[in-house]
Amino acid sequence: MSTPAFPESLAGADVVAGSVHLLVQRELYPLDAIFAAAFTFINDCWVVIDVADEARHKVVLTPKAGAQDAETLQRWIGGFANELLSCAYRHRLAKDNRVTVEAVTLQALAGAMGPPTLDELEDFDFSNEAFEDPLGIAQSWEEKYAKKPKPEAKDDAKDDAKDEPTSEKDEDAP
Amino acid sequence: MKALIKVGYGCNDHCTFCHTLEVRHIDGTAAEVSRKIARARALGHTMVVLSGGEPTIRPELVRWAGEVAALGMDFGLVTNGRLLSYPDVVAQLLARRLRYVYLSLHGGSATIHNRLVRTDAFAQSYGALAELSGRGLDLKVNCVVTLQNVDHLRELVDALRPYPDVTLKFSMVEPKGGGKALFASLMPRVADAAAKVVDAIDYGLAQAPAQRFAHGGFPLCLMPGHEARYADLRTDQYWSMTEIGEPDFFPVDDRNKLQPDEKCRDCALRGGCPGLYRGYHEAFGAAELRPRTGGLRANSFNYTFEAKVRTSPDDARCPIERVGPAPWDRGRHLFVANGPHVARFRADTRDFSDEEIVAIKHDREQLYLDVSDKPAPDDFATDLVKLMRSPRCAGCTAHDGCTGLYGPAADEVFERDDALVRDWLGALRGDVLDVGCGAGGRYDAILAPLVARGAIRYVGVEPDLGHAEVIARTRPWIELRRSTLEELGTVERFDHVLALRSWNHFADRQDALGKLVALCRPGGVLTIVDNVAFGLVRTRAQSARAEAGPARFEHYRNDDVDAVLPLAAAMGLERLALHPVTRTSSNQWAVRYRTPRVASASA
Repeated sequence: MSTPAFPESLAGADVVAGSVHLLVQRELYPLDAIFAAAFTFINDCWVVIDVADEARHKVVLTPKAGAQDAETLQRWIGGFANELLSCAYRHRLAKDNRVTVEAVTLQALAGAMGPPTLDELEDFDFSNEAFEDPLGIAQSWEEKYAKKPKPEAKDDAKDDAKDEPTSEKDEDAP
Repeated sequence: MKALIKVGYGCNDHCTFCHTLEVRHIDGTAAEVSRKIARARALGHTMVVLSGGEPTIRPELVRWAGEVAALGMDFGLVTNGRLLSYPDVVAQLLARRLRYVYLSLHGGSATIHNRLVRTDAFAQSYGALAELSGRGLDLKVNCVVTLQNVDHLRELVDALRPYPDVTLKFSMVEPKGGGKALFASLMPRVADAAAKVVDAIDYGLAQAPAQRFAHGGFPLCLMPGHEARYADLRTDQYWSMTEIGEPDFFPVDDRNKLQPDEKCRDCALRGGCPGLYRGYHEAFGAAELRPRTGGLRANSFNYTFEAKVRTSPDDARCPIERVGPAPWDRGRHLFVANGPHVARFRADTRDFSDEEIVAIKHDREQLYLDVSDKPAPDDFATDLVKLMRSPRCAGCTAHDGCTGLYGPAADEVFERDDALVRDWLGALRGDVLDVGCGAGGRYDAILAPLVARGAIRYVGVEPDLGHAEVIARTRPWIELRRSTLEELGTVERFDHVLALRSWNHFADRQDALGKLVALCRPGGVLTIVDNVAFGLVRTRAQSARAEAGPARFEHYRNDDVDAVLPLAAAMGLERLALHPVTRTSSNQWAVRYRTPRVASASA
C-alpha cells in the first residue's frame, strides 16, 4: 500500500514526538463522527481531539507502539481519515432515519408489552394530551353559560350569579 | 419573525368588541394547526404565535407548543391569559419555549374588565401576570379602549405598575365583529380616546419612568410626544398569519385602515401612521385628525437581503410559485432574479405606508439595486441599477396579487432621462435663475461655458449656508444668492427659472409654484425637475451602513409630476413639455411651462 499524501495544510507528522495530526473541517464532519472515528483508534493510539480554530478540529494520534518513521505515521492518519468518512456517513444515515426507526421501535415495543396495567396508568403522563383544568377555565363561554338551566328559585339564582353574565352584560350582547 | 396561527374562534370570554363574533363556533382541527406549524418553519419563521378566539382553551395547547419547540422555533400566545393563571401550565409552556405573551386586560379592576369581557375573568387574567412576569418573556398587555373603559385607563396603569417587564398597550377598538355590531355603544371618538390614552401614559411615566407603554389604532397626529410608542403586528415582528381554513399563510396588512387623502396627503407622520379604521372613517369622517405638515420625509427606503431562494435547473417553474405566492407581502417583500440566482429581500421601513410602498414597487417600478459602498448613493447613474418586473410574470394568472419577480433592467435609465434636461440647459439663453442650485455642480459642464461666452447670466439660489460657501469658493462664475425661495424677492425677474430637484424641498407646493412663476418674466420659461421616492435593494451590510450613516431627511414630500399639473393649469401656464415617471423610466420627472406673456401681479 502506498503512503497517503496529505497537503501540509490538512495533516502533518512529527517524527520526534511520534505523532501525527489531522485538521478536520467542522462544516463537513459532525463532532459525533469525529468521536466515533477516534474511538476505533484508542486501542492502538493515544488520541487527542482539540479545537484548532473556528472552522476546524485538530485530531492528534500518537501510536502507543513508540517511535515510527514519517511514512508509517502518515498511514495512521490515512486510516483515520477513512474511518472518519465512514462514521460521518453513518451518522448522516442515522439522523435521516431516526424518526422512522423510533416510530417502528415504539410500535414494536408497545405491541410486545401489551396494554398498561391500572397501576402503570396512574403514573402515566398525560400532559401532552391536555392540561389540568380544575377550575374549568378552558371551557368556551357558550358552553359555560348556554347549557345551564335557568334557575327557578331566587336562592338558586343567587348561588349562580357569580358564574353568569350580569343583566347589564346581557343587554350588551348582540 | 413571527407567524400567527389562528387555532379556532371559540373563547371563554365574550368581549363586547369581539372581532370574531360571527364565527365563534368554528374551531380548526389539530391536524390543520400542526400542518401550519410545520409550514411556518419551512417559511423561515423563528416564532409561532397561536391566537384565536382563545388558543388556551384548546386541549392540544401544550402539544402544539411542543411541536413548535421541536422544530426549533419559539412559542407565543395571544390570549386572555386566564389559563395561564395555572402555574403548572405556565411551567409546561416555558419548557416548550414560550417566549412571548400578548395578554388582553381591559381594566385595572374586576368591575371594568369583567364588564368588557362579560364574564368573571379578571382575577384569572390579572393573576396570570404574576405567573408570567419575571420569566424573561416578551410580555405585553393589550387594553382595547372603548366607551366602557376610556375613563378608567389610569386604574389599569396602576394595576400593572408592579410588573415592570410588562408593556401596556392601549388599542383603539376596531369596528369589526362585535365592535361593528355595537358600534354606537362601544366606539369613543378617536380624538377623545387618544387624549385619554396620552393622559394615562403621561400619568404612568410620572409615577414610574421605566414603565413601558405602547399604543395602536390611534392616528399618530393624535398622540403628540408618544408617536414612537406605536405598535402593531409589524412592529411586533409578525410577518404572516393564517386563519382557520386558509390554505397557507398570508402577509399581515393594514387594509382595515386608511389615511384619508384630504387630511393625510402631506402629513410628515404618514409613513408610520395607522390612520383611521375604515369603519370609523365612514361614521365620523376625518375631521379629528391634526396632520403635521412642514415636517421632513425620507425619499427612499431599503429592501434588505433576507435569504437566497433555492433554484434548480431541472425545475422551470417560477421560484415564487414553487415556494407558494401567498405568504409574501406584495409591497414589502421583493424577489430579485439575476441569472440563475434568486434572492429574497424585505422592507421593514416605517417611513412609508404600505400603500406608498406598493405604488413605488408595482405602479412605478422604482426599485434600484445599490451597487455602491456609500451610505447614500449620490451618483445614481453609477451607484444604482434599475430593477423591473421580470418578463416571466407577464401573463401569469397570479400577476396582480403576487409580490412579483424582479430583475435588472438593461437600460441606463438615469443617463437617458437626464439627457433631456441636459438638452434643455444647453439651449438656455438670457437671464437664468436656478432655485436650489446645490453644491454638486452636476450641470457645470453645460452651464459654465454658456456663462463664459455670455449666452446666459446664471444666478444660483442656495438656502444651505454650507453649500453656499462651497459654491462661492469653487464656482465663481455663479452669481450667488444665499436664500430660500420663500425669502427671495421678486423685483428681479428672469427669462428662465429652474427648480432642478428642489421642488420637494419647498415647504408648500402651491406657494412655491406661485413664487417661481412670479420670478419669471412674462413669457419666460419655468423648468421643474424632481424625483419620486424609490426603494433601494441592499445587502444587510449596506443597509446597516446606511442606517448608521449621516444622511438626513431633506424632502417635505415625494411629489410626482401629477402634483404640479393641476396647480399649473389653475395658474394658466402653458405646458411646453412633460416627462412623467413610468415603469421603464428612472425616478426623475420633468415639466416645462411658459408663463403668461402678459405681466401679472407678483406673488
